[in-house]
Amino acid sequence: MMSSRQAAFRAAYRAQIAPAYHGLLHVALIYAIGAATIWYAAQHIHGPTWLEWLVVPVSVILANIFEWFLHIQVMHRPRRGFMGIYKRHTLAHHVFFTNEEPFHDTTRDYRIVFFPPYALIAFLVMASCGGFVVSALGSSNAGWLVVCTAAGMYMNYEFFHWCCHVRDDRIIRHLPFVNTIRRHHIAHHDTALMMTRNMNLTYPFADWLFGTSDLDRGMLGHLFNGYDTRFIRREVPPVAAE
Amino acid sequence: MPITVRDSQPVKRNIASLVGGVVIAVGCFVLWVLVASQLTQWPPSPLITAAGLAVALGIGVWIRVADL
Repeated sequence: MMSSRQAAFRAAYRAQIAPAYHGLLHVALIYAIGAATIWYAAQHIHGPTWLEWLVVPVSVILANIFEWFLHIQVMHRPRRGFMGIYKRHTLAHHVFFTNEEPFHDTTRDYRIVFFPPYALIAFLVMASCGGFVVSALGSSNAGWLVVCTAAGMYMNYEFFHWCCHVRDDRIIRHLPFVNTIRRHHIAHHDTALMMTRNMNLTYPFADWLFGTSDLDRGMLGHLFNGYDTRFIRREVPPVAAE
Repeated sequence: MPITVRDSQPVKRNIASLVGGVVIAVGCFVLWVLVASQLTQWPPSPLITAAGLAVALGIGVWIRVADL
């Protein structure tokens, strides 16, 4: 049930969304940029060896840890130079969506579900730098695969996050990984957990690795937990996030 | 966090949408040129480049107007 504070915040936030904003256009822009990047990078990959393909799982793991780090250290911590991110996430997203009422109502609410598109550009620039370094180390194919994987992970992130905040779960509750992250992320919106627990938005690998999950089970159990609540820690101790 | 419910549309836009609009416009134009060069030739024709510039400017302006 939605609290009066949450309802008031939602009304205030929605009133300040510019009339020119269109949620579907916002999403289309993100996916168009991501898809174009993947397509362009893929054009430069020619007959990669199995060793070069290995950069894909490595990049997925690094992106997973980066997503966890950014969430726990920037989005939930007021850092000089990154206050805008903190305000948008902790002081807006987490008030708009709580574990009691974590769902959006219209596509205009996408403004507070999806990152602004320039975040994708910033991420792609960072990924391109990483790809350039890998390429300079000797494998052009591996460098382009880094870029492809990073762009794919970003779109994966946005899609999974949307799945966490969509009301109708008749289909997604049966999808492996998606049902896991949905429970994981909605639990994160509990104010008692949000500063220290469940920081992953794609696959809860880094949360398992660094002990910041609200679950008490192994890696595979974390990844395929779904909606299962049997393994939730009885008492979630505070985590030293610094 | 103080909340103010407005009856009318917002007057002041966030500075982030100005920076974001510029970043997006530049990013989209670069991506457009790269994709066009892959599909046609390097450098892309002036017409394709001009179209990319128009699209990128349109997206950048929309980001600013939508205060995204």
